[in-house]
Amino acid sequence: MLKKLLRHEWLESWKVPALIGIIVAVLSAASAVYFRFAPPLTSDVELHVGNLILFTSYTLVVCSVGLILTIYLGVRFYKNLYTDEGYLMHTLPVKPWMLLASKGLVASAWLWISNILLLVCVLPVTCFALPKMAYFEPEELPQLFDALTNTLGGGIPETIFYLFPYLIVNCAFSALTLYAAVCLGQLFNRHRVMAAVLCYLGINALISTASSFFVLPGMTGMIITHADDFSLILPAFMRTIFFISFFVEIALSAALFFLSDYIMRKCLNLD
Amino acid sequence: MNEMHSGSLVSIRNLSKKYGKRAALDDISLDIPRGRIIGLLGPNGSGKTTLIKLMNGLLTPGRGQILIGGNLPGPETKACVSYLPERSYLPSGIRVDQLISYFTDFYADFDREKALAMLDSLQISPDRPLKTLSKGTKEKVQLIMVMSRRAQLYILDEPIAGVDPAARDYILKTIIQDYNEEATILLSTHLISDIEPILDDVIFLKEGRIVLTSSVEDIRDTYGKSVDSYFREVFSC
Repeated sequence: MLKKLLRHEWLESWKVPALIGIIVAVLSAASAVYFRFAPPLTSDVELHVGNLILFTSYTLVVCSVGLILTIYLGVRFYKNLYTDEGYLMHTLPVKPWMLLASKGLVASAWLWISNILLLVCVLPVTCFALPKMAYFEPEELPQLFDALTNTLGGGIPETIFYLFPYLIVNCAFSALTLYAAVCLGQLFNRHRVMAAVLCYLGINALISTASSFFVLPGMTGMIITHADDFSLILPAFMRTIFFISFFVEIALSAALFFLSDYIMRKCLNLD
Repeated sequence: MNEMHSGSLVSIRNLSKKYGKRAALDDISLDIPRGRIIGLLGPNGSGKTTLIKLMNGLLTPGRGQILIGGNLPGPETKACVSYLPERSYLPSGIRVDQLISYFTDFYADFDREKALAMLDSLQISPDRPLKTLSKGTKEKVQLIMVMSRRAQLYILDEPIAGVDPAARDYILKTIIQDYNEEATILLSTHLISDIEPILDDVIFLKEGRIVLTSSVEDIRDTYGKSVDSYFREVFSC
């Protein structure tokens, strides 16, 4: 049954994310072509304001895609399970965790695809755009790129090694946070959508506060004690944060999944 | 119906449900046998839809228990209960044939050929998107999906409300023709005179309580009235 649910969920939900992906790809291709063939800056022009505005606009539009996709996935989950369509979904002969798992897996997949697409699209555009926005000496750009990829220590392969599994977990975590908030909103007698939005903001605020509480003291201490060689120990510190985030997000995802499943099993009250 | 406890298809014990402080259902106990067409009758707000939603696992009871075929509402009962809600629950973004595939995939008792034949008889093309259908046609498609299952229990919530008389006749004909004789049909409605000819039994609900469970024949014999007339008497304001 889970396989069938997955298939139907995918078939019913692919159009909007695919459209968003196409828009991002086309916009990125157009931006890449423009910046590739834009005249290079000379040493007497430090900043090209027009190109800077163009690149900032492109980045804002492309980054808002993640937000649009998240809203779409949340609305779809709510509409599909807690409005009229819920009368069909909740009378299918399947367990609630299967409904949750099918939607969670498909949503995670779409979020993961959109993140990868963003990386694949934004990186080349940035590479083409940087020298057309500001004047760089020939050796400065490779240095900047190296500094970015060295944040976690090592080069591109190491960054991919850390980034890809983390992205998978992070996307699942994002989807399950969204779904748990929608489920929690259903526990209220009235204004359930507003309650769901507030729950979503509340969960995120709680997690941000907790993570700041754990990260900030370590970071501050490190800056104080390693003021001279901060850049040398930063990769090790970032890797530690990365590992902790990875496992904490797995644990939180599992907790949010069981919470949503419990609400759907024990507290379902469709209007 | 309450006398037929042993072997009953549905057994409800001390069921209560509250919305805030208001009791929608108050300590209901009921047994529903197999092979009957039963009218669940009562005025607005009497608890008909609440009872139906509880039987389908769409609401969580405050107290009490419902067993369908010996199981609490869950995947096992949903596999043998065919439910028509009082609202349109079909996703608008799909075509009729996709809906048929959906039902075929999830309900082992769904008869695809029967559904296609019924659609054909109403000249509804399977390749039409649901969003292009009128409200009445959508309701017919929904009924066709529900009645194309070989279920043990059909629960139909207001199946003839808000449709024209011709469609009403079609719906009633669809309900009674070719359904499994072992199955039970439980249908709620206000339009008693329209459905009275097809009913075997009735359950009267008033303010969340059962005020009568009886066969239609018994009502006629005992009170010398039709169910419709007797209903008006019981629920007169």
